[in-house]
Amino acid sequence: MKELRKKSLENIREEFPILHQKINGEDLVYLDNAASTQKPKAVINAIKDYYENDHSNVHRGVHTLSVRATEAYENAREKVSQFVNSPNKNQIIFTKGTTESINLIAGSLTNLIEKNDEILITAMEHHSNIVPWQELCKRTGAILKIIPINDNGEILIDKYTEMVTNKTKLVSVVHLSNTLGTINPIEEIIDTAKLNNAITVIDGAQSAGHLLVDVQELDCDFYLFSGHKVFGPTGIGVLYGKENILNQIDPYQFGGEMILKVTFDETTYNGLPHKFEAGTPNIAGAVGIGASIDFINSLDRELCHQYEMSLHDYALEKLEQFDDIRIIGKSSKKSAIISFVIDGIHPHDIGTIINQKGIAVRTGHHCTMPLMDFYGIPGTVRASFSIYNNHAEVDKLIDAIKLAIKMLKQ
Amino acid sequence: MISNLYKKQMIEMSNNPYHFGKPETIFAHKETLNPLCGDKITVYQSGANSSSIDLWFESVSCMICSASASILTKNSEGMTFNDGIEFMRQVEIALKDGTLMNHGFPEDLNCLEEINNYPSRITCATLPWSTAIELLK
Repeated sequence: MKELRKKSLENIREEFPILHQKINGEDLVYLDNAASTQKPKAVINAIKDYYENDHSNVHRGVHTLSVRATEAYENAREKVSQFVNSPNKNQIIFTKGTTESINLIAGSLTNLIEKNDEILITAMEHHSNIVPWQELCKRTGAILKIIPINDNGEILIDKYTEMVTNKTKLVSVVHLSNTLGTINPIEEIIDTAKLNNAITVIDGAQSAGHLLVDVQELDCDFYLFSGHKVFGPTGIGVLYGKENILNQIDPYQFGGEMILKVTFDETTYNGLPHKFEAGTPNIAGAVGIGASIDFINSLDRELCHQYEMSLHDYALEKLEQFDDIRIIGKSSKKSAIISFVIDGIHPHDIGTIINQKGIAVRTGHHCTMPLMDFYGIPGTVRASFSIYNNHAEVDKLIDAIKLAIKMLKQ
Repeated sequence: MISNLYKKQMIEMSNNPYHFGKPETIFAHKETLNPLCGDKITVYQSGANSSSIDLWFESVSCMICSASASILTKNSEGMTFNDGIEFMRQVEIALKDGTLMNHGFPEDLNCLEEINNYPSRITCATLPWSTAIELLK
């Protein structure tokens, strides 16, 4: 596996300009990919090229630049649509990111959720898949219920099955946990929810860049992800939704772009996808995410996954040799994310010290505070891998952790 | 140099913090979360002394926060409330603007002199002080 990768490794790294720098005099080792991936030249250049040559406002303009900008924006929508195998590009709504996508759903579903209806989420959700539902429950009187997990960080699927009843109106689950790396059995979760006609929402923020997503095969009602975790820019995200539900729910924001006709007496809303894209959209962001999808499509995704997991397994083997390190998240089905705690040392102190060696990891609660409460810890150190990382960087991580432990346990 | 931030004195203070835990009687307390990381600190004014400052603390926090809290409880002990609040405000500002060594503060604070070079960690150091000010004012 390592040999296979070696040939293209240099080429892949070359495509990411940011990696070729020193931090505190050391080569940058970027292991914070679960927070945000770095950007290949193709994405950076696509955004630059758009602003240098094609920028104008989209839709309704008759001049050449507006036509070009509209084509670029709508072409990006088509690319996203194909990326997740949506039946129709009009079912792809551009948002600011996964958080806004979830807020859009939670904010628009008020007319479909009633008092005492139940909304199910898991114990491993990101705050962005907790708080919008709490707010929806406040507005409607619905009840938020939490699907439990075991110590390995796996959903207790039998408990989940018991929890889904005719009161369940919505199930919203993360596909791939940003903290634990757990890949959840969303096929089974969706099937069970559908037996009770519950709406299914899949938070794909972490998964879209690592796993193949086919929304028609999954048959979920909504699938959401962010551009910046799939090698694209920040500030652009995706909401895929089933057409019948998108047509049933109200717009999330109001203003230009989302209307067909406005008088002082009444307004007629536009059709999909524009109904949910009020105001001038993030055109350059859409161009960027389109380029990032082109980049991903140019890769052998199965090979990428195998390679990332080889880094994960190599790092895990080394971390498990430390007596005072505890791995958080040991699901049998995982992606290339490792969270861990070190006895007697706070994650922030580790993060600060290894940053002096040029190593970027994320420390803290990773926007999953209820999950931290479940494990009885304030936070973790999280190393998350991408295709441009290599085994030598894992060695540097391990050496830096040894140094930090020595320094702090003196 | 990272060892200038994680000085031996700082690590020792963090491992053996002064007035860590709840006092036997509590006059008042204030709990604060670090908005950057969710870490928690609770600062207590002991009920045994109503005329001067006698602070204790509990925290789930990093070394910098624990050491800073230890310095706070030790060096504010016995101050009048007005003097203590003024002292804490000066320290909080100095931690933020990097002038810790310019004020003639107690020597214990020297171990935090490097904090200004680590912007993402300044809140870790100031949290005990801002919490105590909120508690006492």
